[in-house]
Amino acid sequence: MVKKFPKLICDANEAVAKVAHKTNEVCAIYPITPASPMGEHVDVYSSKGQKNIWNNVPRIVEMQSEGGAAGAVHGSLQAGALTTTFTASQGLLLMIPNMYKIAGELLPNVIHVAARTIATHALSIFGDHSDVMAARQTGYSMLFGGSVQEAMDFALISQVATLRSRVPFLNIFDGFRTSHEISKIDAIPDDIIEAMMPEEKIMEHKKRSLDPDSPVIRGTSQNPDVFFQAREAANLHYENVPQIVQEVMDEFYQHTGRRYNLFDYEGHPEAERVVVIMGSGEGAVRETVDTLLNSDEKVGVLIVRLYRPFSVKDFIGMIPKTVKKLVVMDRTKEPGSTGDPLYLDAVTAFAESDREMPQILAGRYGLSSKEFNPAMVKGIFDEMLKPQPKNHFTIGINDDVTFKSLLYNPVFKTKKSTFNCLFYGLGSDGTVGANKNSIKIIGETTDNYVQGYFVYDSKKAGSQTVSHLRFGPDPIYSSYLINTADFIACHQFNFVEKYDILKKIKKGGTFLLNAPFSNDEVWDMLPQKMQEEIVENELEFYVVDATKVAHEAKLGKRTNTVLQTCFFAISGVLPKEEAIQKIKDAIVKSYSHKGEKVVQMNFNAVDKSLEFLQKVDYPKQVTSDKRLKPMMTGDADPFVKEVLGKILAGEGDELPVSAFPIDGTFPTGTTQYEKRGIADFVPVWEGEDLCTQCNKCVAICPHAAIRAKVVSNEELGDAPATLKSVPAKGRPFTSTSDSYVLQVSPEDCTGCDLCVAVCPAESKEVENFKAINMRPKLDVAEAENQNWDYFSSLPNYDRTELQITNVKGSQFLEPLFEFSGACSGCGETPYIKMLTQLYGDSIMIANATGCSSIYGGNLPTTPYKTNEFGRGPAWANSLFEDNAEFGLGMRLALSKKQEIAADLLKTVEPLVGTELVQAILNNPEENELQKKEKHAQIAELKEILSTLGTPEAIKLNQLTEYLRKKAVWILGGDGWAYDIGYGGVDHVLASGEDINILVMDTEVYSNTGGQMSKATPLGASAKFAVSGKKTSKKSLALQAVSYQNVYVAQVAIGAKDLQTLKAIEEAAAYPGPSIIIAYSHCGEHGYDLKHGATQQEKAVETGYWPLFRFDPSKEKGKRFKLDSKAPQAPLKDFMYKETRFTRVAKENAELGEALLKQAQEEVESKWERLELYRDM
Amino acid sequence: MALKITDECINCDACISECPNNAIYEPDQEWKYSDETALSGTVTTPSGKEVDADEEHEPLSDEFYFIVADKCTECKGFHDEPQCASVCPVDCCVPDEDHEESEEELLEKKVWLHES
Repeated sequence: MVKKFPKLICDANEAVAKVAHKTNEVCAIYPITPASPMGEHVDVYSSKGQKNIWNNVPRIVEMQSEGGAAGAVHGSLQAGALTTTFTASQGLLLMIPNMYKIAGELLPNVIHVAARTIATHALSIFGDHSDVMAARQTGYSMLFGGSVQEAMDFALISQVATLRSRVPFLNIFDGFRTSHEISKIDAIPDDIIEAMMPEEKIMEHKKRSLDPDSPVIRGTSQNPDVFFQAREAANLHYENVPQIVQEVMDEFYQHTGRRYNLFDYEGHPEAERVVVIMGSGEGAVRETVDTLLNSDEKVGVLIVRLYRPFSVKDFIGMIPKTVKKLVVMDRTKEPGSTGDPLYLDAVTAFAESDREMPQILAGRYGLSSKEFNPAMVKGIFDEMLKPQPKNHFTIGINDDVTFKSLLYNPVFKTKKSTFNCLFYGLGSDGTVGANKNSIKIIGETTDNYVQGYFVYDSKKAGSQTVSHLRFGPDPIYSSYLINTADFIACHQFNFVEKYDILKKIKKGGTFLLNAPFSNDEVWDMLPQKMQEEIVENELEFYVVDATKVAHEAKLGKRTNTVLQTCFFAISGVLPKEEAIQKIKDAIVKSYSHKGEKVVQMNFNAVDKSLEFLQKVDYPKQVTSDKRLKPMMTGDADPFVKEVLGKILAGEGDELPVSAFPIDGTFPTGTTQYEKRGIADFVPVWEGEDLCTQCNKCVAICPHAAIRAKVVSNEELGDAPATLKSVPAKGRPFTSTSDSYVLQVSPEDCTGCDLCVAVCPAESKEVENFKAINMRPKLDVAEAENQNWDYFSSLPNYDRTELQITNVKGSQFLEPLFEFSGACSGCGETPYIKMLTQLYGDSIMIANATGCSSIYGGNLPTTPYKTNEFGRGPAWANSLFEDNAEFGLGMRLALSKKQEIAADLLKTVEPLVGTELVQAILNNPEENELQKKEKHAQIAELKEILSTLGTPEAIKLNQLTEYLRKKAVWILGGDGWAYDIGYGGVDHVLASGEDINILVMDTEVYSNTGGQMSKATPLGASAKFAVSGKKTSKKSLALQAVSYQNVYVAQVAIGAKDLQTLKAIEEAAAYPGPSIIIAYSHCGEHGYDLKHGATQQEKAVETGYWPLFRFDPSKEKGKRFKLDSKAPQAPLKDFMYKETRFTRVAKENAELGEALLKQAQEEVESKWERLELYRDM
Repeated sequence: MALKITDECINCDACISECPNNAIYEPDQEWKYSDETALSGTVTTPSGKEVDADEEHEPLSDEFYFIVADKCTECKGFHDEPQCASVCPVDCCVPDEDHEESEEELLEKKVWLHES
């Protein structure tokens, strides 16, 4: 049965969200990668007034955590609404308690899950089944889809089945591979949804609702006499589920022509070797089976759709009786079990059936989106041929420790029916956007099927993107990365020096390179490897200077149209003329509302692109001896070079198990070896005579890429000729014998421009000339890189001499947090950097999951580092929701160890000597001099202890570092502190313990892409609140003040850096709990972040972000200190510089105005309230 | 006229080391007449006040750098122009109308500070 349906070109998150929105009345949501887009879509649908099939706009509510979302779902179901939610990973785990309740009460609903790895030794945002497998015991039914089409189809099938069976469902599809894969699929028209949704069952659900007009009671407590029986009372409902699901699938087939079964078998009818799998891995197995069938191999694949309840009868029934060997593939790991879950189910099924048991083998694959492709599947089928095949094997990795992994031949490929293209670009260069557009053009205007999958590295700034695009006449099931490309485009010329871009090109393929060279020049600029690949594969090689074309066509820096045109012109996906016409049609469609002129400008860009696109007539031999640039520089230790260096080079997949630490422990300070060089423009210290040496540039730099040192003139004796220095001004320097050097690291700078923006030293004679100015990196890099290396070798000024109570002095301290992967212009990192400058050698950091845990702890290279004595921040991330408690736990252990060390010290006092022991115990370490003395005292103690043989002396010798003052800092963003971790933050503040909390408040969930939190201000548009937030931001600071024994500061480093510095110092000194709420500008606010500090000033000036400190250790009347003035300017001056606020007014002028007015009133009343605190 | 620092100050620390009289202090810093001057013990200020030169005084600002007017000579006797004003990147070191003095008085103040 072939039916024609309208096509959709979208990913599974969007496809599923469409069905969920049509078939529900309430959605309780919370952001988590990779499921957040589902919540974002339903929020947008409802905010646009789109209706469900009952002509009603679903209510979307964001909760404070997934636990909260599950609670809200439970309540909404009890009160009789059709309710759903979307989640993954830790989010699903947080829902588990309610899932037991919902299932135990037979409340029909569907939770849509983009299955994602559970954090263990490390966090991973990628896909596997460890989350859903941890929920398989809750009583939820589990339906697995393996493609975008299936994810959408099963969204409807599970919704209908849950209503018919009353058993709740998880609709599961693989995170990223399916949730984020763009595919051309058949839409499900509303009339089919309406026809399938069982109105009668819906009414029954509604009638069961709690209602005071016909009251019942649920959630009673029961005793040993009855609980057991009552728990068994719902059994029949579970027994009915498989049949109900099959009926719904049959009905779905009648409507759509798409056939599904509880278990689907494909392959030889008399297969002897069968692979059992569920989720997106089915694509690779199906393709492989297809290929092997052509050579008459007796193989097959059993695809599990309904995993819970597991129907033994249907499972056994679908497996050919001829099967001799069965491999059951699990995408999860359950250490210590007799096997992973699907395998256990398969064994049990055979054991309980009357069929003779074949040999059943367990295989594990694809953890954290590890590639699973046909070559691996072939390896599995080959293993089954062996007389004694490996059991409990892994595939896709090299396990050289327990030798569980299978060897396979990576060369095996299935028959290819698609046209495959790879595009290498940068996160911000428009490559992914252009490719999504190309997919739309080809998918919408031709009968071709399309697939797009986008691979990102997890650096936030300047990340590499690889777009995998497939086009073909048939539906595309290839659920794996492209391994043979017909076409490869490299959109960033500097990649050719770093990566083996052409590794996957097929013979006779096409290569498009964006380069600032002509077809005559470009060959000589290529490295040897690339030339080899071009010559050997006889590639069609094209070059275009897209930057030049874009400039000439007046498109500014937007090269994507140019490169997209070239792709259409030469790739051969479509005939050239037709392809160009389609681009022009798309331009008319996109730009006609902007007028004929804009359309013509873009037409002109297309024509110019074709004009500048040049075919390279290259020699038939390799002429270059240029090697690929090493990814790692500097003198790193072997582990860093061989393991982290390999990950950096994009070869992490090749590392064996033995390369890794067994418990997730890694060395710190490794970003220094990675020179990323992503800036086009870097600051240059040209106006050194103008320079006031204020070090404000150093303080604001998010990446610690601009630094200042003061050294003696002699120390500069062998400086490179281009290194600049001026007589050092200020205390404690001597201008005649000391020199001030300000130096930029061009390869570590991200070009954000913040330093230049904050530089106060502007020339009065030359316009737009400051002490530092942005200049093209190409012009200065060679000399400045050399200068940076020299600068790095210069000594740091003696900490005990510096005036570190002022910003200038503090910025001569070495940062122990450098070159992080944070976004260019990040507003969070300057705070962390300052913290490490002051106290880095004596802090432990508990870091909540979020931006700061990603730029702070994302492999391969991490930014926390050590000082010359090997001391530096010790850092760990536990979870998102538990960070305050995690930090408190660290504090308790630290205090315990300090207590033990001090006790031991007292016991050895007679042996060591009273003077030294008392000096150690009484040294308060309140300043750098005392700290230095403490180190010397401990060194002296260690020396004495090593000569003593008493048990106490030996023990103390291991613990002497705990005689030092050490602190715990608890770091995280507003999503953690205001929402999901608020209970913990509150509790830890109330504990009275000596801990320090730093909240970097970006006022949205930045890491997951900008969803609303309780820190989001009134009137701002954020995801989950696209039409503007209607409620006020919570004052976390004033809530903390209410405890009276908590040090509290609200700061903004871009507005008043000195106040930030003092707050950090006071928080560190305060012997109880302290919390600093730090305003952090963010790309999610929607403006060029070079104005970040200026916006912070405006935020303070308008009263939007008042600055204050509350220090309980001060005398009454002086505890609360307002560090900013009463509002000086209208709030609009601040708000309307940021898209998050203007977007609201743009969409709805009246609402925008009303929210602005309300916000202004709130600023004033907030200030009035603050003034009342003054007398505290 | 002595100079004063307005709330335009960005706390860049440029001025403090330029002052020949040690009249400029960091925010929140306590100050003394005797800091880097020849004064000590009980002294009489040019305005006729009797003070203890070694006594610590409350900071005049907790937010910005500040100038102690009794110690400021507008750099008279040292430089042609006030050094703090000449190095200030935001021009926030300005004449203090509340402390108008003649050149003669300023020069006398210099002598009082450093030679008495």
